[in-house]
Amino acid sequence: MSAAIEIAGLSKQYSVGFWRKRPRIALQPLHMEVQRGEVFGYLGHNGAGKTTTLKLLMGLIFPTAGSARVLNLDIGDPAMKERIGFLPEQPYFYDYLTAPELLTYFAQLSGINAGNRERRVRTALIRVGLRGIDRLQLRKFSKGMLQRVGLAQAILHDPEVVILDEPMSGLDPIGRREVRDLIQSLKDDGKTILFSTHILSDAESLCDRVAVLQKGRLRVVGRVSELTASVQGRMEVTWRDAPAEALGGLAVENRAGGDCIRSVVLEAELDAALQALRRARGRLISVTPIRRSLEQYFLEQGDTETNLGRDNEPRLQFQTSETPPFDTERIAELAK
Amino acid sequence: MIRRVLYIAHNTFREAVRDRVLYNLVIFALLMIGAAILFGQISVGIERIVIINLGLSAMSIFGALIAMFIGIGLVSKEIEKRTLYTLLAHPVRRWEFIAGKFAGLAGTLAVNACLMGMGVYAALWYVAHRLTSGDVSLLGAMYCIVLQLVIITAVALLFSSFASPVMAAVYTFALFVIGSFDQDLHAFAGLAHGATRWLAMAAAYAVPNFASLNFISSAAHGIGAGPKLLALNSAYAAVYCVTALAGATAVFERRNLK
Amino acid sequence: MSRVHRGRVGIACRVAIVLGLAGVIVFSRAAASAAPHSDAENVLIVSSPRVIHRLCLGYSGLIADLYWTRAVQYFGRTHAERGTGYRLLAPILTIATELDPKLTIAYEYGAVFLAQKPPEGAGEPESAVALIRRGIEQNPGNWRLYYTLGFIYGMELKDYGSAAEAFAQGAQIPGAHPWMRVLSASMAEHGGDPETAHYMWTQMYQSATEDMLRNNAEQHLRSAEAQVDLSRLQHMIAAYRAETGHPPASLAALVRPGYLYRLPKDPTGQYYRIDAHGRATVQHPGDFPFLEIDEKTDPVLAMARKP
Repeated sequence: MSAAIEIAGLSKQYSVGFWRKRPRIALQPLHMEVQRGEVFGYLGHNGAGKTTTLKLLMGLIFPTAGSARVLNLDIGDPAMKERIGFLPEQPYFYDYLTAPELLTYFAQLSGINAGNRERRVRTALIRVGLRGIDRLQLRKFSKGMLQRVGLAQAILHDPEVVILDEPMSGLDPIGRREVRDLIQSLKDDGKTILFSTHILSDAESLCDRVAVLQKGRLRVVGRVSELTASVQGRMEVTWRDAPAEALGGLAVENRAGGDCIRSVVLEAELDAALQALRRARGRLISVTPIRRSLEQYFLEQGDTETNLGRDNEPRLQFQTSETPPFDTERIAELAK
Repeated sequence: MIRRVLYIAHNTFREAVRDRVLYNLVIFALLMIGAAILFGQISVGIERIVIINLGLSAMSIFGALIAMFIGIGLVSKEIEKRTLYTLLAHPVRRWEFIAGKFAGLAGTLAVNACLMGMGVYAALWYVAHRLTSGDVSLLGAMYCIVLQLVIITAVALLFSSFASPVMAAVYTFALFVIGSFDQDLHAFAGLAHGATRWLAMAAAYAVPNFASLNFISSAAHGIGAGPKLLALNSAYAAVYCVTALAGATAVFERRNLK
Repeated sequence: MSRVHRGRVGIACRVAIVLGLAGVIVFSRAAASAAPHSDAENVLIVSSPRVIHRLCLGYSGLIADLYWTRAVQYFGRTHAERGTGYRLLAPILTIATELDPKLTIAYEYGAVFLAQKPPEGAGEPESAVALIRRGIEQNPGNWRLYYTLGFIYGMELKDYGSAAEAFAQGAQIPGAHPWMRVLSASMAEHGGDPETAHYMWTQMYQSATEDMLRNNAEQHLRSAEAQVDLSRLQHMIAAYRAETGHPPASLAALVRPGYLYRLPKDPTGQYYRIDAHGRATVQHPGDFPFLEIDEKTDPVLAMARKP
């Protein structure tokens, strides 16, 4: 059986400028495969070429060179679109329709027969957690609700491959969790999911494999663990009722604030640090993993080009506010 | 294929109706009522003519404005708001999108014109208390107005397939004005010589001939367009629309939706 | 879209555009020929200049030019169709000049063609005079308008006194051509003479700035010259017939007895001929629209009337 998505040398170049056209390379020739049943994360900063790739796959823009096949069908084959679902970045829909009307419209276009339409629309809306909005026009929807409608239309026709462009952006922590759950359940149904994100942790918890894109060039493809193994993880341990020197040389950095002391330790030395703390009769308050970011990954790869974050683009955050600050499971495990 | 076009057309129609496009009918109704009452009282023997001239002119102008502004928004708005991304992610071909959008707006305009036509007849009934056989000729004039509006829609779609919305509006409006003077353009071409003549002739034929679709003043005097003329004008409008839409599709088919 | 699919749609579109453009031309022409021909509809639409002025929203100059072109077009078309009714010429010219009162060509041209007898003009010298007088009111410094006024008085209305007056008034204007005085004097003294007419048309021909006016003057001159030739030939034909008792078979028959040295040619270089009624005429009467046969003095006709 062939791979779900096969990309062979796909590239895109725009010409910019009014008088003198200069080429701007949005995507270097890309070779990549996504296997069936896989959750594949497509990582990169804003402007790295993620959306360009996904738009090329969806036929919204046309490649300068190269080709791609989805489910062994050429990306231009209209039959291909009956078998894939797509969520664009920050989706927006017709102002004056309600969510069920919009989904019914898309169901019609996807060729879902009239008998099944209503049931499919209901199922999809429930699956993305939209209830009680049947009479509300889409122009009154919040950004997060629109994102859910977008997800609903992407899975409406029960596609084999689902392509999601930044599915978690614009969502609150609960919404992010729900989207993660949705992706997980799609995987359990045997679907192939390709989604893009600029937040490593989103990919970490879900993906079988990830690809990292930088400035239109594919940097690496592999398992998340392989990717992050090289990055020295760090933990922040917060405690009280013990002197700051309790951790001795284990602490890379110590900070006192109020009654608490926060120390940063290397992930590998966390157990030793916790034991030291227990010996000193300190009271553990929290252990927080300091998230590895793509930026850090590139930095640690020793890439000189990795001077990321052009001023006009949001930088990858060292610890984004979107990630929950407590890794509760890990704390519980360690506290035993 | 045709089904998808119809679905898109239906959605366009629904969107237009909910966007309160048909509210122009309120203004139209007020205009008709006002004219009917006013001229019904003055009654200088031309109330019928005034109602017809006013009604059909309003039908044409309102329709043209709707066709222009909504027609231009049809494609550009979908790109700007990125609604098109999700649409094209479904098994919809781009030409189906163009055809569906066109059919939807043409349908909206036809419904709008139908309702206005009823208004004109109601006002005529009010001032004259009867309808004469001459009033049937109005239908031909109204039909030709709808043909005009459909052509404007196609032209607006063509321009909006490559120009920015504002420029597309400017181009379409310019073409509307020039098209209304198309006979003069033909006359100018007739006066010229050599290459200029050919160029002017080409321009005169390329511009939609709105003047020959305008029967408002003759309808006011009870002179209708004959069936042969109506058939020829229909064929003209159909061919013009197909050409403009083919142009729009040819451009749109190659366009990168950045 | 795949390249294959896009390619197919692209070709289909191109074919549709080409066929469509051809269809547009075909149906446009068919519809135009099927449309009821109504000049009022085509050229006038609104008959009150003042209303049009308001409707123009400040673009009256442009619309005036449009109406002026329509006047030329209307005249040309009616003329080409050998139509005799130029009933819309005066109203169109009125609209054009009302919209742009400085459009002097419209007064000059309009007056000449309004005044001439059908089919070469509308045969409305009075409205021509009214038009040109309005033009003079609006453009008092333009001596050419006086010239045209005098011309119409002299040539069409045969009112030589008014003509002389108009020329004299025009001559007062700074920059007026010196022959305005000459014209005024010759109008006063020799108003009805053919020589005066010839002189006036010559001046018109030489001074006209507009092709149509110059062509018109040329036709007048040509017709006048041909008329003189034909008149002589008629006399010769009458004389020949009186001498031999039968009409000449052709003009060549007049050369041998010595009436003519050689076969005469008209101003366009064509030979004159004898028509079915035995009268001298030109090869192409269309080239001489102002040729007039005076039936009372024509010797051939006079002979034919004799039993």
